[in-house]
Amino acid sequence: MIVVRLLLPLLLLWLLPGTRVRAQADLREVVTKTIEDTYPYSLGSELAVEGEKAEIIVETWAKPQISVRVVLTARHQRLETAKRELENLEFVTEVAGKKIYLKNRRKDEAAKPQSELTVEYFITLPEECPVYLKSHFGSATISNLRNRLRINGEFSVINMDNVQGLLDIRTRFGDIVGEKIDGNVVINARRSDISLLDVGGTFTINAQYGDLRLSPNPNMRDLRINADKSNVYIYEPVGGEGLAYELASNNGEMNLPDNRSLVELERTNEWRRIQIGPNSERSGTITASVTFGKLFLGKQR
Amino acid sequence: MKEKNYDRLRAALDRLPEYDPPARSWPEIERGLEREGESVREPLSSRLPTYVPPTAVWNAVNEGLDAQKRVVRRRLPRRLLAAAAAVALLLFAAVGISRWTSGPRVTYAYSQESQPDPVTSDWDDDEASFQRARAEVRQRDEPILNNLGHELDELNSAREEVKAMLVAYGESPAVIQQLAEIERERDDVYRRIIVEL
Repeated sequence: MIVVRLLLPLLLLWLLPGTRVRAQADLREVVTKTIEDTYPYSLGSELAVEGEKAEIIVETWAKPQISVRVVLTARHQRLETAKRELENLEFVTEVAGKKIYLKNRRKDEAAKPQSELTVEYFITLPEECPVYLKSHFGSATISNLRNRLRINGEFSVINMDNVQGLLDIRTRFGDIVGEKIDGNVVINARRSDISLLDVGGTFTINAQYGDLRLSPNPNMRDLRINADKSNVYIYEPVGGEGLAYELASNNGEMNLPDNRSLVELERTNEWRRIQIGPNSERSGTITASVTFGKLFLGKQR
Repeated sequence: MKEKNYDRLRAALDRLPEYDPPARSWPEIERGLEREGESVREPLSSRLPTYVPPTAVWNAVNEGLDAQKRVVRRRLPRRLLAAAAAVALLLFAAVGISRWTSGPRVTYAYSQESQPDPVTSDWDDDEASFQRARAEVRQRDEPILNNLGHELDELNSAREEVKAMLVAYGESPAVIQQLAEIERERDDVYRRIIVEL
């Protein structure tokens, strides 16, 4: 018994370094380089961001300034490796007149890092500042803008919240999620799912290979959807009795509510076109044409 | 006043005799006038006697003038120059601040986090099956199969882009998830091709 009492602490001391080594092996080093800058904003200023594998977050404030914070990060088990490979990431800014251009790139494009490299942009600007985002991998999150927004995304998720004005969005392999969007909106999407909630104004959506879930609000004046090899789900808004629908399906399936009186305009084995009139004075029109996909019209919950 | 007996007066005057001055009168007058002119041109001071001052007086005057000059040069211009330089510097700084930002601020931070589970890169294991299916589609050359073949090509191209990103920026969970999603879509197209074949 005395031997056990003597040996137990020694055994624990012997095991302790091993535990520490294992704990260190479970951790990895994170090296972060943060670049912060501020630009004056005046009428006519524009911001363009070209992000590669970057999370771009755009928010607004009341100051006449554009604030940019870029965080470059490298993660690796060895600190030296993370530090060295982080320096291959470069953040570039150019100011031409009132146009501010931000970009991240790799200095040596042939390099094959062992670290996991990420880039984040945190941008805060006046709500009336026009914004152009080009995003190759990563994501873009935009909120509270009021003027002009253009996004060209590839493999990038696009999130929008409370955005108004002129919107032009092109995406490939990047889903779009939006809420409270109002204005003149054009979306061209390929291999991307689209989910829009509480949207109004004038929308044109062209989509191939994706699921579209759209919940317009009663302020929707004109919604035109052309979808190919895509499923389209339209949810009627509460108080949207003034909306009229013209729906067409080619080699697809159409699910319509039972309580709405509809007019069949064309119907064959492959092609069906129907019309649903407004229950009150017409406030807007929703036109959807779906090829090789489902077209669903239902009530918002 | 009007002369009442003008004609008689005129005739009486005409009858008066004429006399010439003596010949020496005019040169004497001329000499007198010349003397008077010379005395006007020459200042009276020139006619005063002149005396040389003692050397000590001049040295004292010179020293006094030099001291006055030194005072002026040392104090007033330097103060003015310093004030002007300060004002110019302030103006330059103010314009600089208003026109340009102070430049980017760069900071570094170090931390540690849990190591994620390693990813097994087995996404090329079934590539031979896909290639065989694609070759078969080309060989059959039928509209439905050709459409499926185009879909497969698009997904193959996207897959290569995602794999390139994994090489360029390291293996990140988000990108691996994108690759997995593309793989699922490729599987779906592959199954449809097999059904058509």
